[in-house]
Amino acid sequence: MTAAAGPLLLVEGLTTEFATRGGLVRAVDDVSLRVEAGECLGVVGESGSGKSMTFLSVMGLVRPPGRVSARRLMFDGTDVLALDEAGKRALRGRDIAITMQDALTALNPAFTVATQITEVLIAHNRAASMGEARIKAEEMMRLVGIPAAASRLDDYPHQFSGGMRQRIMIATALACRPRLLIADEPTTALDVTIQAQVLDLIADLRRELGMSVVLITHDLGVVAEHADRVMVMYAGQVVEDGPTATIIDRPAHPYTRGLIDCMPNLETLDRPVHPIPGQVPSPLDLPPHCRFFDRCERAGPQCRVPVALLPLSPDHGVRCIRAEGAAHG
Amino acid sequence: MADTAMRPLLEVRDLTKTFVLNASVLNTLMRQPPVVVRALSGVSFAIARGETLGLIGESGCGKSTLGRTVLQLHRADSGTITYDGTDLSALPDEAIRPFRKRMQIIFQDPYASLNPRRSVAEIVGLPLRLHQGLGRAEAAERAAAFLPRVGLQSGHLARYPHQFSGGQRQRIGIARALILHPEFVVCDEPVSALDVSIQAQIIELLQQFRAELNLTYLFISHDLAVVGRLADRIAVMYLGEIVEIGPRNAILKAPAHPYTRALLSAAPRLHRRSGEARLRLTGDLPSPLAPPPGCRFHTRCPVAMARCRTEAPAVTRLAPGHDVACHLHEGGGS
Ligand SMILES: Nc1ncnc2c1ncn2[C@@H]1O[C@H](COP(=O)(O)OP(=O)(O)OP(=O)(O)O)[C@@H](O)[C@H]1O
Ligand SMILES: Nc1ncnc2c1ncn2[C@@H]1O[C@H](COP(=O)(O)OP(=O)(O)O)[C@@H](O)[C@H]1O
Ligand code: SF4
Ligand code: SF4
Ligand SMILES: [Mg+2]
Ligand SMILES: [Mg+2]
Repeated sequence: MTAAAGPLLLVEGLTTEFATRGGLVRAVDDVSLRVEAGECLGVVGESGSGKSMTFLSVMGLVRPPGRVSARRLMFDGTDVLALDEAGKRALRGRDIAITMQDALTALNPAFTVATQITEVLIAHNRAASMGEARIKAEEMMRLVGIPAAASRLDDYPHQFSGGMRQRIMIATALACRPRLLIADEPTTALDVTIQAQVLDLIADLRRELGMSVVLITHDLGVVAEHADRVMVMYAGQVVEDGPTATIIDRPAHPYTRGLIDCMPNLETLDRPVHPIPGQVPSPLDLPPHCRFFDRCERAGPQCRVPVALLPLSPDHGVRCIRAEGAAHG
Repeated sequence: MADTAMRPLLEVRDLTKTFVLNASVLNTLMRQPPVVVRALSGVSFAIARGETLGLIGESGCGKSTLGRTVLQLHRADSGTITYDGTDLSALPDEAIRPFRKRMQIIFQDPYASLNPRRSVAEIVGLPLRLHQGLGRAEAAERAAAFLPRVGLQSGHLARYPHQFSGGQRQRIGIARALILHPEFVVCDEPVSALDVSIQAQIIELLQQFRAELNLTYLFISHDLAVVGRLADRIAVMYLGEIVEIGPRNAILKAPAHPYTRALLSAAPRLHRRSGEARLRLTGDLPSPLAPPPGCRFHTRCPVAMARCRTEAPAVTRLAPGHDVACHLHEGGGS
């Protein structure tokens, strides 16, 4: 409400580093992004590309020895970097909620689901009393489709199936009606039919609550069906971002193109598989030039330089000097 | 030739397998009966030599149990597993040994399925030592010669699993399974733990070996598009039962069982035809500890009828090689 114009979340120059025994690991390297109000941003990339770390950094959840820095981090016009610890804590959970990759480890096994949801509500002043918090918790459980919600409030996480735990985590994240939900691989551990249920639920809530969503996944099909815009990460960097239709139908970066071509696709089963050769470089041994160089079909001698993320059009950025449709290079 | 063409390499009839969950001290004290999971109830299918049968279904429906029971890594409770004319389920353990080198398995988790304390030379060489009585040095030499065929280098021989990426570890698992040139391989979700870009590499490798060695695969996955790439026929499992089995294109283009339809409909697509409504299932997967009576799918089936709640559907043949177990199709055709 405060700043109607700007994006809900604005991140510029985010870098996250870890000092490890093998040397310095830059898990997130100068990432910039924005999420508009009501929008769903899809984030894709190989495992280890920095998807989770980017948003844990945004949330201030990176623990030492991790070191996070950013040029700018704004939420709804508020400068998050200028907030004190209490201010940041208030933002987390109330305005921004995150659901972690692994639902079982993210929920505390020692407490009933009622305790975990009511705790969040009370901590963020979204319920005046324990009684009210319980009623709201039950409402959230029902909203995420837990059958017989009232009678299951006092069960422990292990008493639910994987799909239900995932939905309970979403219920916990949504209990405070956040304005931004960061869903980290919310369906990776789920089967397709349950996965579809969870994604439909997130889409329904987005519509009903006007919530913004960051959907982290490695499944381009999920992104194609749910995201408005896509950000593709590779070895800690954003290599391409733009509207979903552009990224899926006219990818400009060879890595994005490769991901789409090798995706198992029910429509093109008998077309020969077209794998991306090789593997992601180790974060301890990144090349000084384009990080996709060793696996890239289009690579040429001119690629042996560091490559910047440049706009192809006002809403489409790509980190490749020989990008399809690029003017430069 | 005529003989082997007629007789399937593998024929499974009415396979049943239960697990007794470890009776906890509490259960014993409370005098509660042990909990029994029925992982397979009456599974039947056949695979011809050189054919790939895809096996699909949700987590916990019994896919791995089926694969492992076929390989006699578990003993079945009842039913027969006829491999190249011999009923393995009737054989004592010693008599199964000669079959072990003809039948191999590639596991889902390239992290957990390799012993972290063994070098690549030892891991890939072990089957040669066990089944061909080779010495350590000779086995290592043969392993070194095999590694390039799975896209690794003989220089990788002295390395340990943690020094490899997920995709490379899966290549080690494939080398271990194929170095004896088996006939039949159970691929248990061999690409599920891998990134999409690496999945395609491994699928291509499995296709190459199938052609070169004339392999027969039982290919397990929960991803229809992955199964569709490799399978000639597809079996769909739900809670320990095969609910539909048929030629790949029949299953993917004209699925008959409501569950198969739901699986297809739920798979995320890059391009969904406009107006193509997604079939939404409600409800959770029921517990295999207490499968629903009647048709096991009735608690989630969007078209369930009254009789589905009490009466288990019989298997109906829709077309040659295309069978379905659903009341909607009883009487055939449709
Ligand atoms: N050794 C075991 N002891 C007890 N129960 C078991 C054992 N192995 C499997 N089960 C149970 O049998 C059922 C089928 O398991 P199985 O591993 O075959 O499933 P799956 O279809 O391979 O699942 P996933 O897709 O998760 O690999 C499950 O309910 C499982 O919990
Ligand atoms: N505590 C840590 N110490 C060192 N490196 C880490 C740590 N946590 C994550 N990383 C590294 O950061 C990179 C990005 O990780 P992550 O964001 O979890 O990837 P993704 O979510 O894209 O799979 C990886 O190279 C990972 O190994
Ligand atoms: S800069 Fe060169 S190597 Fe890098 S992605 Fe583009 S074409 Fe490939
Ligand atoms: S038998 Fe009934 S419940 Fe089962 S799949 Fe067919 S219609 Fe649905
Ligand atoms: Mg992650
Ligand atoms: Mg399994």
